[in-house]
Amino acid sequence: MAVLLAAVPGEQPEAPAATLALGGADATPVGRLVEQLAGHSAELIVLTRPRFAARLDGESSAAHPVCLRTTDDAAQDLEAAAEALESAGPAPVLLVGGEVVVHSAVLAGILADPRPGVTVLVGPSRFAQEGDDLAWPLRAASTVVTAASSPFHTVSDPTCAALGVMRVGPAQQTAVAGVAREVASALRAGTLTAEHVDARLCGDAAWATLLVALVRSRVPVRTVPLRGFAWARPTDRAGAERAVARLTEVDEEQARVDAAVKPDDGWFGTFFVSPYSKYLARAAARRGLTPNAVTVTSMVLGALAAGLFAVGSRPALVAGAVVLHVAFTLDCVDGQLARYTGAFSALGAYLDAVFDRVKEYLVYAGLAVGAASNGDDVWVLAAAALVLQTTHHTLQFSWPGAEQPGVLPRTGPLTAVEINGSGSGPAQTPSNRRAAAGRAAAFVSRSTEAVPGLRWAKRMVMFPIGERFAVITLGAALGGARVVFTVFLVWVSLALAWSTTGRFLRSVSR
Amino acid sequence: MTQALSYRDDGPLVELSSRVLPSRQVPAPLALTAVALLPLLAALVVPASQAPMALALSAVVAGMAAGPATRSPHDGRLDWLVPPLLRFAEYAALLRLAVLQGADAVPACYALLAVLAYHHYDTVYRLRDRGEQLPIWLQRLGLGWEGRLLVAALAAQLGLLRPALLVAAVLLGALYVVEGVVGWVAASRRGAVRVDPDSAEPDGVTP
Repeated sequence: MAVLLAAVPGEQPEAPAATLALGGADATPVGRLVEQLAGHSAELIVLTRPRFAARLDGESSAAHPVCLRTTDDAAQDLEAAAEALESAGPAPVLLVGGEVVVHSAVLAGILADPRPGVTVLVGPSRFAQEGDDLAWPLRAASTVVTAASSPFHTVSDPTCAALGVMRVGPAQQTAVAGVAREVASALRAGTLTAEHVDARLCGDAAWATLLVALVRSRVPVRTVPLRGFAWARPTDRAGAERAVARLTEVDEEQARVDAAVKPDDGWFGTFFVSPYSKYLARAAARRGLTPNAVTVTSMVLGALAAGLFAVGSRPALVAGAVVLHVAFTLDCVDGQLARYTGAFSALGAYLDAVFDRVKEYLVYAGLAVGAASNGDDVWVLAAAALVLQTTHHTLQFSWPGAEQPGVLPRTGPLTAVEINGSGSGPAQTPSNRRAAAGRAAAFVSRSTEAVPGLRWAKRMVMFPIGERFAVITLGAALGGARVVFTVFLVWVSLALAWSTTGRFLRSVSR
Repeated sequence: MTQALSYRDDGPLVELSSRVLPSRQVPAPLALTAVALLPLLAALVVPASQAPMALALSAVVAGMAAGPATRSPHDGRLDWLVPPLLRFAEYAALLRLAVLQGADAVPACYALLAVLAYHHYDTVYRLRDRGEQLPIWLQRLGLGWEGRLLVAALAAQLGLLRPALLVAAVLLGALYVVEGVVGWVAASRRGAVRVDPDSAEPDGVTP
């Protein structure tokens, strides 16, 4: 089911922005959306003001029937949305602004997203700052939205922009409907006020205020990035022309391939594997291969590489290195294939993770066996590598648990224009030393993010999986087991020291 | 139950001491758990011939001392350090013990460490993707960090470290793999396995 909110006014009095002309063929934003969503959603509901109804009636056609409902204000919009959510079946529900112009793949992607709960499409914060299209500034910590804005609420230091597309998973539908009704009564009671009310923004008050209320009531809202796709949400003719230009200048198929790569990849993966592995993912999709098949193949090749390393001779080491690189490439391909086709499997991510660990520790053993056959005993080095790597992973696994209090959204009453402070619990005034430690950690974090080289260096220090496999591959081919483990041990020790210190400083400053 | 508490993998000594030793106040788990480093320190400092007994004794002491810590919910500022500390303390002590015994014990030690690592990773994935804690019987069969250190130290004292490590690796490996496969397949059939692209590898670098 999809609910399209088309109350934002356009340039003419009886025409909403959703019916702005987009180039030829009588295309309009709402018309495009109806066509794009018809394949995915059983029911399409369009909510609009009475004066726009006539214009929107024309958008409904026999091919794509649409249920048109008129509402007088944002409160009624929310009540209609709540009704729709309560009557929706087990499929996810989309709440979309009728003026949104976006590639079909984006809508398909957000509907296929396997995460439960509420997700919202986001783009870079300049979309909200430039003011040409209708986008709401948001603050998000990794993928969790911590603060949202609306005509009545502001966000300082926004990190991204909400693009008018929200998906509610089946399990959250009742909860979200409840929040929508609460916001409707708050709007009716007049408790929400704004300094100056921009008519254009007010048309989207329902959607934006609902998002704010969800975030503040601790319903987890996650972000889905736009990546390289085209998006626009025009409110006038100039905006409509820009929207058309953006749609034509971005190649949707290329954007689909690029979006298959996960956004937070390591340096080695980003520059040495993903540039071609994403095309392998597309080729695999065209042949009908499943991500799990690719995962299993990667595991088999990893075991083969370990076996070749165990032989110990230089040709075997080189062959093993090549096979291991192929195995690692396939390891990237399986996730990219899942993202490209939207076919995420329950066991897939688990298998991927477990096989990664098995491959890696098998390969260490293979290298040690091979070295032993050459008379060099590196078993202690191999074991030390296992110990330190496992310790580092354990550190990373335990850390998010400690971070949760800070990552939770700032809660507070809907009437507060902005929520400051650090979330739940009594406000603590940290001691000077703690505050200084926190400031130092934050300063290092900010300054390294600003400079691209430093940003990659910060990621590399963590010794992620791409870098580890690169050390093994190159080290084995060019040097041998001892070289691999020596470099490995130095790097992982550095990573452990860096991780522990950074997180220690951050913990101590709370 | 916080993640830090779930990842501990304590054994019978810790369990016993947490029940027997009275304590009204919930103590700081990190400080208490730091005693887990005692066996490693003993094995590094004490001369090779007495190291196994020293390690065995310190494993007992550490297990008893760390007991009360399990009553804490582990949600303090630095309690995230507890699981990596326990991992390092146990794995490094086992490795040191093997090195002291002789070069041929080290591959066997590697095998056991790999099995234990699989088990500890599975504990994390299980909690994250199935929302399930490790079953108590499985945790007890594994003997916990201090139990394993004690058994290894006693085996080393008897000059049987290498066979003990191999037998442990094979038995625990079979146990963990079989239980893992059965558990995960059953969970995925029930639809109880969560798919979350964000919770992917810790190698997604944002700390």
